[in-house]
Amino acid sequence: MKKIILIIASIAFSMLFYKNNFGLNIFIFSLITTGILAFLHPKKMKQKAVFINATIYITTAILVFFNHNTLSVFTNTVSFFLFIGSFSHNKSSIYVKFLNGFYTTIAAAFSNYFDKVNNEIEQVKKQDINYLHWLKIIGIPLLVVSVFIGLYRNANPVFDTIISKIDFSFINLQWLLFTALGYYFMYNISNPLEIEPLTKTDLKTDNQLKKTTILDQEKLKSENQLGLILMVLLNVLLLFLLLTDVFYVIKAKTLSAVELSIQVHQGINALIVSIILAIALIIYFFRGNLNFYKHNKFLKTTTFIWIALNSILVFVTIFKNYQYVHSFGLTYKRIGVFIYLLLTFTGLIFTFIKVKNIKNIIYLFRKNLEIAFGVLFISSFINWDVFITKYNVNYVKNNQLDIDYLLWLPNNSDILNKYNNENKITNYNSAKNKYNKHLSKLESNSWQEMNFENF
Amino acid sequence: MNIAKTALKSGVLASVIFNILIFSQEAYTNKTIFIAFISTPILIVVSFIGIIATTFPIQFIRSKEKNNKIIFKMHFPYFSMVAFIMCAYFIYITEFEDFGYLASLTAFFTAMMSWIWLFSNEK
Repeated sequence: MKKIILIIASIAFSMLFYKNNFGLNIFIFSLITTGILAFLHPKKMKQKAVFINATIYITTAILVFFNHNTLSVFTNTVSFFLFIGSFSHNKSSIYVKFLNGFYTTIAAAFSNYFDKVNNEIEQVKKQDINYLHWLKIIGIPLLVVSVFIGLYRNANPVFDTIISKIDFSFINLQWLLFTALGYYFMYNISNPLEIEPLTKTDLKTDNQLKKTTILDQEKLKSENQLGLILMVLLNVLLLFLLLTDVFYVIKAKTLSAVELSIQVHQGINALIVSIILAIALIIYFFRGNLNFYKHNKFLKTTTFIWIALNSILVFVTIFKNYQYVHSFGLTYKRIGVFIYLLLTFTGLIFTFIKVKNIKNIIYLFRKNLEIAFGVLFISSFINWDVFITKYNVNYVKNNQLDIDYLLWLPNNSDILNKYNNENKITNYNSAKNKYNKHLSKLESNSWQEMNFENF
Repeated sequence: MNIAKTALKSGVLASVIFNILIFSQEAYTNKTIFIAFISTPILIVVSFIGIIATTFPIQFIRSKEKNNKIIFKMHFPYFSMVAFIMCAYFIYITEFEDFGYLASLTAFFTAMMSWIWLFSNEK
């Protein structure tokens, strides 16, 4: 039964993806894979984590249909691995789920084959395939159906016309090989695997930091002193930087566009790196027994102050980037900076919780990756090409509007054409050409490649 | 580990996969025999080098108390993921040309199978 389901699924895989781009096929594929896994592993499907991952996976597939951009395809791929990984083990961390899902998808068949080859007991028990049985259950129905089709074609001219329109010319060696590849993938995902040492270690590791050996008071005292001096100095330095930054932000209003551009480009990268280094430094000092040292109160306080000052720095950087966007408009890079800063801020919050509640580094890793995936998932709801176009055309001064950038964006033809017709942009011919190309591409889409714009 | 035997088997497997894939491509129909003639010895040599390269680090990893099955279970997942990423990267740098797909598919499936042969030989 399982084999028949997988064969049908692999034929569907081939029909959906063979020589086709992404579109409606991703959504149908997500339903097929979810359906197969729910059928083959009904108990696992009822587990909360698996169900949530399945919902996220199908949602991202719907987003591919609606937004039809690289980001939604990427999110769909990540959520697919997480979904498969949740079948491997639903209680594992997000990164373990991802690795389990990735491993299952690409190599489960080989791993299973290795087990089969190396399991002598199973080899003894191995039975020959009953070819006659398979011939009967496939051959006889096929023969009988063919005879009846022939009879009905003669009996009914409408039926005959419909049957004669069915075209199997697409089946060739390449298609068959692609179907075989589809079978390989379907077989893999229907047999979820765990990366054994990694998953076990992950399940054993909780988020709490534990005291290791006996506390070496002298060593801890010296490390505490070093940390304290360093944190006090860094706090003073950061406070000074923030004061100059506030001065800069006030002055920025009077800066020319070019000056603003240079300063923001130079400044933001350095600030982002400094915040990441700040988190790394905190992780270093609070990696072990210093968390349990009884005289670490001042070190903790200065660390909390530093986290707070770094958070202020994040907001100042957000403000700078906002000023830049306000003057020159949105681009993917500038949106990327906002997202990066958001993730850095959540990273600082989790670092605060780590120090306060004595959590380990795995906790930070788990939480930050969960947030990163959450941000990825939410951001794939937005069609960024359209968002950027709308913002730039409506809020950026005409002399600063980078029309070439808007023309370069792949998924904004409709809105750009609309603005073109309303004379909000000036590059009439290029926008019109882009729209026409987009329309002809939509018309040439096969049903598998269709997206929301086709309707 | 019977490296020479596995390398030879992998070479044959690689040339079989590659030639079947080439045969399925309309663009190469007229050149199939020529490509098969040229590619087979190349693939055998490449597979041999590939096997040596992948087993070399394993010689460092393995210790007396670990048997082949444990080594396979411990390292095969990472090996397969790295191999897949490298093959995907190769497809990307060859700008999604047919050759990139064919070579990557051949390399990936051969690499996977060669590890099974390598770690199944000894009992």
